Amino acid sequence: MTQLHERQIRLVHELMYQIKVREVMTSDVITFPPTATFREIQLCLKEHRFSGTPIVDEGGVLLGIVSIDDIITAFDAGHIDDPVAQFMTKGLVTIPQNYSAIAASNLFNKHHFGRLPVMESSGSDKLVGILTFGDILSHLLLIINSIAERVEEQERSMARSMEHSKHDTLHFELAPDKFDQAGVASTMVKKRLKARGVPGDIARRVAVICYEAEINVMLHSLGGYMDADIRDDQVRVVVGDEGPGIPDIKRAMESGYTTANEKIRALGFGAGMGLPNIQRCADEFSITSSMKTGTVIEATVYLPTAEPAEPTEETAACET
Amino acid sequence: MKLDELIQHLGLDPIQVAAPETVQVTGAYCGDLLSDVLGHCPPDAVWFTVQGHVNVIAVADMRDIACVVLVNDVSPDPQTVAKAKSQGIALCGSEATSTELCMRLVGVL
Repeated sequence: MTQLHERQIRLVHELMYQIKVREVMTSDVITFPPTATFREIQLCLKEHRFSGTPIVDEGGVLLGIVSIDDIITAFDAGHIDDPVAQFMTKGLVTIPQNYSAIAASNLFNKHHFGRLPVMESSGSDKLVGILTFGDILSHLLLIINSIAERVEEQERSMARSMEHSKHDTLHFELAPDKFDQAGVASTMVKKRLKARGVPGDIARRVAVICYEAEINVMLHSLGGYMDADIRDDQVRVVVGDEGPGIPDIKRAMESGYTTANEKIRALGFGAGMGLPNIQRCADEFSITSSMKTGTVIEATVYLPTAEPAEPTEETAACET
Repeated sequence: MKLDELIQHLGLDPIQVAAPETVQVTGAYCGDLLSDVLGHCPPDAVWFTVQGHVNVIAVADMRDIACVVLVNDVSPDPQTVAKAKSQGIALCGSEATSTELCMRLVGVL
C-alpha cells in the first residue's frame, strides 16, 4: 500500500508542479490605501464577504493586510475610525507569481493562512494578486476535467474510425508496461459488440477475454497485438506477443499459478487467474507458446443467431 | 436500488458521480484482485476495493459495474477520476471497510 500511496502523491505533485501561482491567483484584487479607516474596510469586507484585504501605496507596493481579526481588535481598542496604517498586520509572508502551486501549498500548510499575497517577482514588493488554497483546488479539478475530455475525445475518434471500417476485424498493437493504457483495446471491442446489439452477458465474456489477454501482454511480454474478428455467429479473439514465451503451459493454465512480481501483485494483478478466466469465458480456446517466437492465444465466443428478441439485461435485472 | 439511494444509505463520498438517480444497482462485490473481480462480479453491482489506480475503471467497464467504491479511505489516482468521468462509471470513496459496507447492504439490496 505504501507504494500505491507514494504513486498517488507523486501524480498530484506532478500536476501541482505544472500549475504556476500566476495562472490560478485572483489578479483583480480590491485594495485600500494606508489612509483608509478600519470602518471603511469593514464595510467593504462585509459587502464582498472577504475575510481580509491588502493595503498598498500609490505604486501598488504591498504595505500590509487588514483582516477581520484586525478589525475586531481595532473595535475593541477604540480606533475603528482611525487610518489602518499604524495597526495593520505587517511583515507578511508572500509568494512570487512565478512559483509553482506546490510551493504555495507548502506555505499554506506551514502557516495556516487563508490567503497569500502574490508578488510581481521574487524580491519585489509589488502586489499582483491574491491566492487562496481554493484557487489551487479549482484549477486541479479543471485539469482533471480536461484530461477526462481528452480521453473521451480520443475514444470518440477511435470509435468513429472503427465505424467507418467495413470489416469487423479490429486490430490493436499492445505495448508492454503501459499499465495506464490497459483496457483501451478491450473497451473498443466491447463498445463495438454493444453497437451490434450483442447481449450483455456475451459481450462481457468477450470483454473479460480481451482484457485479461491485454493485461497478460502488458505484464509478461515484450509487446504484441490483439485481433478481434466479429462475425454474425461468433467473435474470435487472437492475441499474440513477441516473447519471451511460456516454458510450461500446463502450469500457466493452473488457477493461482503466477510469475508476477510484488509490484504487479500490489496493483491487484498477477493472481494467477488470467488464463483460467479466459478459458472459462471462451467456447473454444487454444494457447501455443514457443520460447523462440512467443505466445499466441485464440479464444472464440459463439453468438446467438437469428433468435427472436431476447429480454434485455435491464428488464432481467428488474425482475429479480 | 438506485445509486443515489445507495450512496446515501452507505454514506459514501461521491468522488465522480453523474446522474445517480438513473443508475440501478442490483448486486455487490468485494475484491482487490482484478482477475477475481473480472471472473465473479455480477453486472450492475457496487464494487468495494482498495485499488485506487486507473485499471479499476477498465475492469468496471468490462464487467458493466455500476459503481466503484474505494474503501478504507483510499484515494484515487487523478487518472482514475478522469477515466471514471470519461467512461461514465460512478466512483465513490468511504472510510469504512468492505465488510462494514456489505453488512449495511444486508436486506437492502
